[in-house]
Amino acid sequence: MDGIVRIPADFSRRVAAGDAVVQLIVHGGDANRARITEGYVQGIVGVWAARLAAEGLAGPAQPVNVQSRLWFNEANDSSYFLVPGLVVLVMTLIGGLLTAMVMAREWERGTLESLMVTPVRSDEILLGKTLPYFVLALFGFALCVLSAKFLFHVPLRGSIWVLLGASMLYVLIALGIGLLISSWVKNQLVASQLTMLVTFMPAFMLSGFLFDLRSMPAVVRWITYALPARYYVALLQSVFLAGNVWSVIAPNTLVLAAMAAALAFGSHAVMRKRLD
Amino acid sequence: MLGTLLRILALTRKELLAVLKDPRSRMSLLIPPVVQALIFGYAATYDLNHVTYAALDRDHTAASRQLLAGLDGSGVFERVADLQRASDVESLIDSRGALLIVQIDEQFERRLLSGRGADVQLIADGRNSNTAGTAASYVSSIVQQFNAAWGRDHGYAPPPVQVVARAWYNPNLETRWFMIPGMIGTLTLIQTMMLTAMSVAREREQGTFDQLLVTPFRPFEIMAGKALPSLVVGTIQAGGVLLVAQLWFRIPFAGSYLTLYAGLLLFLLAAVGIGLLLSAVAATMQQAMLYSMLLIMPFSLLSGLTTPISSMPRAVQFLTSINPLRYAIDITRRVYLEGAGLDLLVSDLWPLALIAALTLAAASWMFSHRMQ
Repeated sequence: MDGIVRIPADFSRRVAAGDAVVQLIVHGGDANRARITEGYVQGIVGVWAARLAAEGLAGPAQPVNVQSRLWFNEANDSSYFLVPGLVVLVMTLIGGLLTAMVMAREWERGTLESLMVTPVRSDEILLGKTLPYFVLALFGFALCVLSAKFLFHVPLRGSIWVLLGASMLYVLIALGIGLLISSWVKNQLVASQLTMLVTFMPAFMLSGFLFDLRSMPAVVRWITYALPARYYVALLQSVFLAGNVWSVIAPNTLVLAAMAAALAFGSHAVMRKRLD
Repeated sequence: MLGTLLRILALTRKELLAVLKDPRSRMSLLIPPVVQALIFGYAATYDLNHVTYAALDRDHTAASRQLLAGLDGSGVFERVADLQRASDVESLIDSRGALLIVQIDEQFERRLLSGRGADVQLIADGRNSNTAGTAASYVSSIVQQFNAAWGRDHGYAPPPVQVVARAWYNPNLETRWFMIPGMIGTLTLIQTMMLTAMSVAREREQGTFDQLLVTPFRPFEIMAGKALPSLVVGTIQAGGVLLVAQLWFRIPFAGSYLTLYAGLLLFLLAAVGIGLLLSAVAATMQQAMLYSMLLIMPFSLLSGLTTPISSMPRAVQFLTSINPLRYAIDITRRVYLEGAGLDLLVSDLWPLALIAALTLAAASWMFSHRMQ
């Protein structure tokens, strides 16, 4: 049971007198759900009171009435805000985790050394190791966009090319993080756990996909600035729901590009150092 | 019987040594749940404490200013702009400059004074419809305060019906109170399942699994030896998150630890069972990883941690019934906040027991099947 509505015995007499009270007890175990329940009850009672007022059975309506509109999601469809978040999670998992595993395995087995003695250059190893996952991630991206459109009926109001560009940058970043972690720990078990912690969980909890970034304490908010998922979520939400808003696209893409460049440089340097 | 037990314990010891001896591996299992509980405990809240809004006040009267002052004085709303034209609204919302626009039309005060009532338009950035909805409800409650004050001063009749709401078990409806107990299950599931799935896959990949098979261990004993260490690690992790909830966030614990741990143990058994089943299917660690993450994503999204299960589409609700995390979150919340006893948790406990029994049986069948 989610709630109990208690209507006192002299209710209709007190409605006429204008001081009726309805008591509502909600189950607070899930605070989010409790608040939604409370809002619904308030809304329904408000509509009922307005109708009473219109029929002249009670005093006039409230002095000020709030009429709210939800832009970009008029019907308040929750898949509109879930789908962009899902895209982030899928891309994070494919990009980060699989690469972390593949390099860590080579380190663990010592086969990277045997690769080294072949005439393949370290950059070529890096490219050959990451390219399949890059392609795989883009495949995942296509699947996400298609299911957003046809399964969840979420509109894509911006340009698909902007979305693709941003997603490619984000995958590059995830690949880079996976590579760096795996070359640091050189152990598949630890690499997978660490990548999960550094990429997936923050993308889930700290990216602004579920929780409002502005309401987080300052320290946690600073942490979110270091997370690529934060910028990617902002991009996805805007391009999917609002359209090509350049004032959102430009700064977020720039940050993603800078992060991708830094990580590419970083993993290149690490590979050189570890191999030579 | 005793021999079996000793062999299982020996395997458990070997497994724990393998996992905990490497300092990095040890750190990656013990530190993260606590750190995550701390960070996410602060981050994971639907309560808003900073909402940016812009005012489009076309009335410029004492009444309109009084209404806006109510917003400014709430401590939650920050007015980032005073708009002059309606055409400015779009660009401000688009660029995420403000989450809300409060629009007050001309004749606002005059309509109020004449007793006809006035409208206030609220436009919210719905890109995160959750946040927007919460912010809009905050505005509504401030407008209600304004209504009460205005009505009292200007002879409006009070509203015919007032709703007085009370929340049991979490009087202030703080998100943190239900989020952090829910994390006990979420944070432990991920690592416990992955640890189990990968530990068998690693042995297989390194070829040591075959060596294990030529020892006098029976398949069942090998499986138990793989399951126990993960159970131990999971229990310790759950304890860490529980400590954070109680000592750091000071969320009052209403139930009994025995009940909580009984439920968690059953949950961990289900998680380990799924992990073992995955490892029986996977040939390499990468595959084990891939399978576990394919499960972890729907498990964590469809668990009721962040969105109530009752508001999901019916087909999805049905799918969540095979999600062990769903039951674990329900158990931890009910024991933690309501002090529920085992008798009230039967509807959560038997599905967990069923999942654990099915996955463990299937895994042990596959183990012995593959080995011969």
